[in-house]
Amino acid sequence: MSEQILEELYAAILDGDATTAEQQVQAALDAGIEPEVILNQGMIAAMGEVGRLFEEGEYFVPEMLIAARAMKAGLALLRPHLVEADVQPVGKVIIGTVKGDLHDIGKNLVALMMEGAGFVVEDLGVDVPSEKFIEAAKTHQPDIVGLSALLTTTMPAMQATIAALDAAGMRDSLKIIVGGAPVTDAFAHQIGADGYAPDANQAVSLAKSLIS
Amino acid sequence: MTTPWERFKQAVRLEEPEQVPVGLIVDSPWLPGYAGIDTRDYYLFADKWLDINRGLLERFPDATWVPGFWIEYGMAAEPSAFGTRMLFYPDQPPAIEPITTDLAFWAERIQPAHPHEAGLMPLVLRRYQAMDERLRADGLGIRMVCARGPMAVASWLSGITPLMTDLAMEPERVTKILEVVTTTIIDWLRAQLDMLHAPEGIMLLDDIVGMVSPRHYEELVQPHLRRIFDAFDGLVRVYHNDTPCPKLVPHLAEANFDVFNFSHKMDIAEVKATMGHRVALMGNVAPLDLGVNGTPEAVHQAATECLDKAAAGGGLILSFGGGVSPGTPAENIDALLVAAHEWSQQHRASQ
Ligand code: B12
Repeated sequence: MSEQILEELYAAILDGDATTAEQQVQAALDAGIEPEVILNQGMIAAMGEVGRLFEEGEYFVPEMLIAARAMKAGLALLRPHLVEADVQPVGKVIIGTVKGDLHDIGKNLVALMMEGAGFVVEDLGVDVPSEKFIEAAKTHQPDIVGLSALLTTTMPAMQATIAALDAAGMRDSLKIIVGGAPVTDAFAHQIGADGYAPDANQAVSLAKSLIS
Repeated sequence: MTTPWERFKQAVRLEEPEQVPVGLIVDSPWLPGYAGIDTRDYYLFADKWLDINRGLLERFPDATWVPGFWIEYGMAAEPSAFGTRMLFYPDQPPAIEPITTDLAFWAERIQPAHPHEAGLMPLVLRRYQAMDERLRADGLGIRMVCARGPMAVASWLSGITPLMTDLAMEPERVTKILEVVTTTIIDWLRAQLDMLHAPEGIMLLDDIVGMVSPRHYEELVQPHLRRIFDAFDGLVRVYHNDTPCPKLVPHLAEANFDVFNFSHKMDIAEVKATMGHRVALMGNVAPLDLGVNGTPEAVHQAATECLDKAAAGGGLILSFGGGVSPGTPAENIDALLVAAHEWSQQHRASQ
C-alpha cells in the first residue's frame, strides 16, 4: 500500500501532474508514511530521475519545468509536516544570474534540481547586482550562493560579486558555486569560488559535498 | 573568380562553389568591441556604424557577413514593439525585462505590432532606408534583414519559465500569443525588405525552439516557423538556432528554410546526413572555445575537419557554430578563410 502510494507520487512528478502529486502526498500522509520518507523516496528520487532524463535528452525544458511544478505542489503540502517532524532541509541556497546577463534557463534548472534534492532555494532572478546578493545573503543566511553567467562579458561580474560578499564580511560564512556555459573549473578557482559544476545534477552533488 | 556573395548563394542552392564560402553572423555583442567603441555609440551614431561595417568588408574581403549591415539594438527591436522594458547599461546590448510574467495577460491583450509605429522598429526602418541609399551610391547595398523568431520574442514578453510551462500546460494560450507574434514578425521582415533597393534574403534567429521536444515542436512551434519561411519563398532564408537539439534535427527542415546555422555541439556530418539534401549548413567551428579562446592554428585545424566532413558535394558555408562571439580576434576569422581557401584548392586538384 505505502509502496504503491510512493510509486504513484513518483510517477506523478515525472509526468508533471501537480494535482495527482498533491493527492498522493495527502494519501501518503493519511497512510501514516513518515514525511521524510515521502520526501526522499517519493519526491527527491523522482526529481533525480527527471534530471537524469534531461541530461540524456529524453526530457526537454518544458517537461523539466512541469515536473518541478508538480514537486513543488506536493512539497507545499508536505512542508508543515516536515517542520513538525523536525526534518531539516539539506541546506539553504540563494542563486541568481549575475549583473548584465539575462540567460536564466540553466540557472532555473539548477535551482529546480537543488529544490528537488531537498535544499531550500531562493532564486534572485537575472541581471542581479552584487548588492542584491549581499542583501539576500543577510536576509536568508544561506549555506550556498550560486552564481550563473552565460556571457564572457558578464563573467567578471561573478568575480565582482564574490569580492563584494567578501567586503561585506560574509565570505567565510558561506560557500560560493559558479556555473554557466563559458565558466570553467579553472575560472572558478581563479575568482575564488568554492566550486564549479557543468550541469544541474553535478551542481547538486557539488552543493552537498561542500556543506557535508 | 566569383564573389563571396555569389559563392554563398551557390552553397545555398546546395551547389559546390569553386571555393567553399565563409559566412559569419555578426552583431552588436561582437562588433563594437572589435572596433573599440562603446556599444551604445554603435547603436546611436550612424556614421560609426557604417564605418565599422564597411571596415569589415575591407578587412575580410573573402568573407560574407550575415546579414551584413544589420541595423539592430541587441535583441530589443521586436520586444520593444510589444512594450517590454529596455535597460541600456554601459557598453552592453540592452537588457530586456518583461512587464508581466502572466501569459494569460498576454493571451488576452496581445495585438499585432505595426513596424512603422511600434517600439524601436520605425527607427530601424528609417535607418535602413537611409543607409541603403548611402551604400548604393558607393556600389554596395544591404541584402539581408533579420528578425528574432516567435519563441524568442514570446520568451521576452513573459520570461522563459512561464512560456515553457504553458507550452506544456496551456498550449492554446501559447498558440494565441505565437500567432500574433508570428504575424508581427512577418510584417516586420516585409517592412524592412521594403526599405531596400535590392533585397535578397532574411535571417530568423530563434534558439528557444531548440529546447522543446519533437512533439511540442511539431504541434506548437513548427506551424509558426513555417508560416514565416513560406512568406519569403524565393529569398535566401537563413535560420539560426544555437541550442544543441539533435532530436529536433530530423524535423526542423520541414520549416522550409534554406540555410541552417546551428550549435557546434552537434556533429556537422550527422546534421548533413539528416538534412543536407534539403538545407545548406552554416557551421560549425566552436565559437567560444576556439573562436575566442583558440589559437589561429587550432581554428584552422577545426575548420579543416569541418570541411573534410561536410564540404564535398556542396551546400556548406564554413562558419562559427552560432555567431561571432564577443572577443573573437580577427586572426581567428582569417584562419577560417585560409582553411576554406586551402581545402578548396586541394579538393579541386584532387579531382
Ligand atoms: C538560449 C540562449 C539565449 C536566450 C536566453 C533565454 C533565457 N531566458 O535564458 C536569448 C535568445 C534571449 C539569448 C540572448 C543573448 N545571448 Co544567448 N544564448 C543562448 C544559448 C543558445 C543557450 C543557453 C541555454 O539556455 N542553454 C541551456 C541551459 C540548460 O544550459 P546552460 O545555460 O549552460 O546551463 C547549464 C550549465 O551551464 C549549468 N549552470 C548554469 N548556471 C549555473 C549556475 C551554477 C551555480 C552552477 C553550479 C551550474 C550552472 O547547469 C545548467 C543546467 O544543466 C547559448 C549558446 C549555448 N549553446 O550555450 C547562447 C549564448 C550564451 N548567447 C550569447 C549571446 C552573445 C547573447 C546575446 C548577447 C545576443 C544579442 N545579440 O544580444 C544576448 C544576451 C542578452 C543578455 N544581456 O544576457 C553567446 C555568448 C557568447 C559569449 N562570448 O559570451 C552564446 C554562447 C551564443 C553564441 N554562440 O555566441 N541567448
